[in-house]
Amino acid sequence: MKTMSNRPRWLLLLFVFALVVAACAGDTESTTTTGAPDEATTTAASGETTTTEPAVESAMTITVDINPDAVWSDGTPITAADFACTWTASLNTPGSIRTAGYDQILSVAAGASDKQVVIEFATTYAPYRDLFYYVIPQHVVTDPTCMDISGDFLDAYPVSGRTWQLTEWSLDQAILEPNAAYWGDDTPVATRIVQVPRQDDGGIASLGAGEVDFIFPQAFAGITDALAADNIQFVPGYGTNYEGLYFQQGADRGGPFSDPVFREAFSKSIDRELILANIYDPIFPGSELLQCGLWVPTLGPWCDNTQFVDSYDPEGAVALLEGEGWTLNGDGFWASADGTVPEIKWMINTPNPRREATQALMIPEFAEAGFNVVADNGDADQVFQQRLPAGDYDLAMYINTASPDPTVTSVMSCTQVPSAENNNQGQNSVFWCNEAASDLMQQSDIEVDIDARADLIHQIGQALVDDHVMVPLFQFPNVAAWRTDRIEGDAPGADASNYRAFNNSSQVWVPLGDDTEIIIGAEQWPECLNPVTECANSSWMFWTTEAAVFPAIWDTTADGSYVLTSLVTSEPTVVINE
Amino acid sequence: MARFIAQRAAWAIPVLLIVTFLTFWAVRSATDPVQSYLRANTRATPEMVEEYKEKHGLNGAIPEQYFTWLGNFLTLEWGNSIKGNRPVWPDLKAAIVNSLILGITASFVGITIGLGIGILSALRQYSKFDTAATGASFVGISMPPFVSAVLLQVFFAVMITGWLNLDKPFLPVAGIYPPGQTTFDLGLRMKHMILPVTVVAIQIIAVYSRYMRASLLDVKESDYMRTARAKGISERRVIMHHALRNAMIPVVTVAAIDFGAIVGGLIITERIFEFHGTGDYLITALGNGDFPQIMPLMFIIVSSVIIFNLLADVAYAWLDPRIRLG
Amino acid sequence: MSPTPGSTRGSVLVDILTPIPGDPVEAPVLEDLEDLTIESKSPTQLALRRYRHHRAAMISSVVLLIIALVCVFATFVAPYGENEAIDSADGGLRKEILVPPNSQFWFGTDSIGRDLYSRVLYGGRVSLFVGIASAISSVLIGTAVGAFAGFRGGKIDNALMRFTDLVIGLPLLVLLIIMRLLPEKQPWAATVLGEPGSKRLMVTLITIFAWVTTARIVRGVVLSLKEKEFVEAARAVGASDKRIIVRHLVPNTIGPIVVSMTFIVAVAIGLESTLSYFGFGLDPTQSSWGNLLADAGTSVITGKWWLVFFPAMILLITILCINFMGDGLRDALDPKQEQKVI
Repeated sequence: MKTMSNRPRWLLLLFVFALVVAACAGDTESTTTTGAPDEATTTAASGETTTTEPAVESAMTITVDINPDAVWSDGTPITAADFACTWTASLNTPGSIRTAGYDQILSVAAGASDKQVVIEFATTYAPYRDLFYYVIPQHVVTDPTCMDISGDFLDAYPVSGRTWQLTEWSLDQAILEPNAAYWGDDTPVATRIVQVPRQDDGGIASLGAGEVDFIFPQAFAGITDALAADNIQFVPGYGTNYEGLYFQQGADRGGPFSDPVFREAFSKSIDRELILANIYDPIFPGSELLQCGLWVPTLGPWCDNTQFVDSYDPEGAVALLEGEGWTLNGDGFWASADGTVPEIKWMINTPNPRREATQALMIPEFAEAGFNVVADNGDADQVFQQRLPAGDYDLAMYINTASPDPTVTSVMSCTQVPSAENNNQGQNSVFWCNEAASDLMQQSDIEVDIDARADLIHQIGQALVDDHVMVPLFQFPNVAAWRTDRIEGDAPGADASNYRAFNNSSQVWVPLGDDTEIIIGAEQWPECLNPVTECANSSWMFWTTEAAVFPAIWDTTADGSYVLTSLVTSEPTVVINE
Repeated sequence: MARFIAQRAAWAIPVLLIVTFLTFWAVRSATDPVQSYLRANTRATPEMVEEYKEKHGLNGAIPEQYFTWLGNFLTLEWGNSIKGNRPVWPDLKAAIVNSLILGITASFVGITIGLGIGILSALRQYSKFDTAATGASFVGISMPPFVSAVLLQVFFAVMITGWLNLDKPFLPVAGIYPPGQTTFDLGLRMKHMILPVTVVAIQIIAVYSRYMRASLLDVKESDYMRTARAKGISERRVIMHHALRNAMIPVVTVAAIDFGAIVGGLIITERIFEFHGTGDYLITALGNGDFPQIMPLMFIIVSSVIIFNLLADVAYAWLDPRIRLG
Repeated sequence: MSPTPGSTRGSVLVDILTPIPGDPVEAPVLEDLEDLTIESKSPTQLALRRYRHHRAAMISSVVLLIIALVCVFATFVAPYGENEAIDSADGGLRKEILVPPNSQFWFGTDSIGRDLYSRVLYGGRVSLFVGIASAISSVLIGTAVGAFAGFRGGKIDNALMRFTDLVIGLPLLVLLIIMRLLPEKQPWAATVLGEPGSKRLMVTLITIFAWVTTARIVRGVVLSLKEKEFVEAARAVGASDKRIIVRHLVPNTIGPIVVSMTFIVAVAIGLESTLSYFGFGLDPTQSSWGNLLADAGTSVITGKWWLVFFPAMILLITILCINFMGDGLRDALDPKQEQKVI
């Protein structure tokens, strides 16, 4: 890390000491995923901090110097008060889905002036760059203390702190126009960006007809043919979404995969190459399987893309089962020593043609291998909101999003197994508990050195393999398609296939000819624009609208690195306290 | 006639209450607002859930809940949607306006053309025109609308644009306006309505032409027509003055009920053409389990159906001299 | 009564299920000399004759019979399995994905290599079953209620009319979707109505709304028959109400009932396909025609036209044939016609 190389060596020793202390002190994580809003601290705009708990030592301090020219589009300067508002709102708004990380912050206050922000953390929170990527204007929210902003930003962004401003938003279209008050150099060329909802094939039809200039369609088999035209170009870039099969192994759920032997045998009987050849390769010929667990190779050094290479081992599976007394019964299914044939319930959300096709392909294959798999599907709501969190399945197939920060503590640690302690809100829906791996996860969260962190993450990845938690299948390409006769891009490359292409639309995309607008067909359309509540769960909305209007300290690029924005004058200083 | 109408009208209110109550109960059972609330607010405390339930009258027996809801509905306190926390009325109003525009236009176009074809078919029974019209109307009735919608969309918007090498689509693919339109423009609005209206009108024409044809044929051969001809009235006058008027009676009452159903929206057409009306609104709300969005719309739909049923009865009473004068 | 094109508005049933008066039959010409002989034909034979005159209905009957036979015997006729992904000829891992129609795969293959022709055949079983089962149960309930209301008259009849008016006007698709959600959320609904995605649930839902139209038709016929002389005569002889209904009225309503039934089949198949297209219909593992169309999406755009074309064509032809048959049956069985053939 750049900052670390400038520090004297004694700080490094102190840091190691802090680590040792932290490790011995046990679980210092506070899980605020459930229950009451955090009532520990409140911070007023003036910077005073009042705490109602015994003061916790600050483990890390980050100081941010806001650009003196940074103003909101109505002229109000961007100050520490806005940062404080962001923190309070993200943590305390009842419907907030953005609490991760903000719950590690002790205080956000003005420093030397209100153009300097001092953020105190309770732990050495490694993924700190993932915070404050949407700074909320404190002066426009209804509640000046920012404790609840669920009533704000319902259908408009009143002010902007970045390149674009949102001049119109309805369920039919969104219009972005350049923000005249923007102080940076990267001013856009286009006079307007118009977004309209165009689902699935409607988007492709619109692109072909020239109604829109740019779409991000979902990849499907035959998409290359669908987009084949002289005036259409498309880029499949590896996005951050990956699909995998997950095994529900909770001991008290009583599912077939709570037996580690059976689970391992089944995992070894999944012919992933077959799935690749028939499900993913038709989408993009020449693709390869994803071979690491919960990360992707194109985003940071966290993925060891060799870990699952040998996962298919049908002979090994047979040997394993026979060694434990399993035999094939009359129907050709494996029966345990006492004669029971486990039934494996495979859950996907419908309608989803690709997953349904995978089921239709693999269920007969599993039967041949001796496993009685049955489809047990539901709609997206049921699957993702009810059954997955409740562990009401045996085998699940769904897409996860890898973040540039690799932390999986909030989804895979032992404390995240849904239980009474966490009000059954835990995110570990495979019910996997490996104490050693959990410890590694917590260590990795406070490990600031990237290489050391990568090493810890790789070890966690190996634990996923050894414990047969899941098998990864495929890293999904994002597809960006555009009309070459309408807009041209300055070396779009991988950036194009990331929604955030339009974040820097001034540099990347330029309308051609007389037309000075860029029209995008959106295949998701959120219900509202709020940056912290459920509405923000739409990555589409975030990348194309929110990120174009809200200021952030860092931007993430398509390969996972962080770049500073013009909101700050220099890299924020990070001090690890003792 | 007044007695006839009064009799019918007296039924309207009780029926409205009963049907809306049944709808309330069905929707309440099919979607769980508390669950939806919890999904949108994963960190809500039990106290907050209780507060939400109290505020929206979700405690107590179903009839009690219904009357609480009814009270709120009638005093125009419709609350916010669960998922987006947005006020229900503005979005619902926009959806209703879109559906009304599409439905009324399609109905006018469809009924006018359908009646015309039906009358011609009846007057030229068994001619080539009649056979062709019959065949076409059967096809129109039998084709599922999502097939015809997609085919029309692909053909007119994508294919023709490609063949003619046009810059803008020949006919718009979707939406109410072209992307980027911020002001009201009647011409563009109408252009964007051409394909959706066509899809709906095809079905309407098919049905009404058959109906009118059969009705007119029925009347044409009846006794009082024979009497009119026997009296020496010209065939043309016979048809125009007597046959048509009588043939229209059932058609008019039917059309009245049709209009009542317009506000229910056209789910398929709206989806495929991104023409956000009440059908689309309802499907999305049902998918989200968004109770505050579903119930007001269902109430409006049921009311509309009942009111137009009443109007149909009134129209029938007025047009049929036996009832008007009896 | 409203002929709303339901599949767009939501009130699907109303359009075709209302009794549209049939075409008046042309007077018999002198060539039919047999008619001038004393030998009388039974009503059935006369009806058959009228049906044969309706060319479209005759052709449709034949076509429909072929389709039905082929679908019912799909196990023997279909070259491949319903969910069988066909291995590619060169022995690689990849199955025969998205192959255009050729001599081996008459209708081409879908996105995971299943033969579309076989799937259409198997799907026909599902779709036809849903249609016929819905029609039968609707007709049974509708006839019972309609006959009773028509016969009794008065307040009961009045109430029934108001009720049916209302049901017909309500947006059918919307209500179906709401009711489709019930079994998912409420276990009692799942046992009573049927599991979500099952054929039983689909049939139950359609029946709940479809019986209304049969009831109206039967009620109308019973009302008009009530005044006829043979009913008075039966009463004079001392026949009980029940006997009158069963022995005299019901046989005369067979005609309109059969007509109504055929139309319900058509509407049910259309409804099922529409619901499946939006994901509210049958379980995707069942290859009903609606599900096949849902799978295909709008593959026309992607160039995989056969995925849409063949299921849509077979759906269209089937519904069309059923509608024509219904029209023919109505012409043949309309009691009004009997008086005109002299």
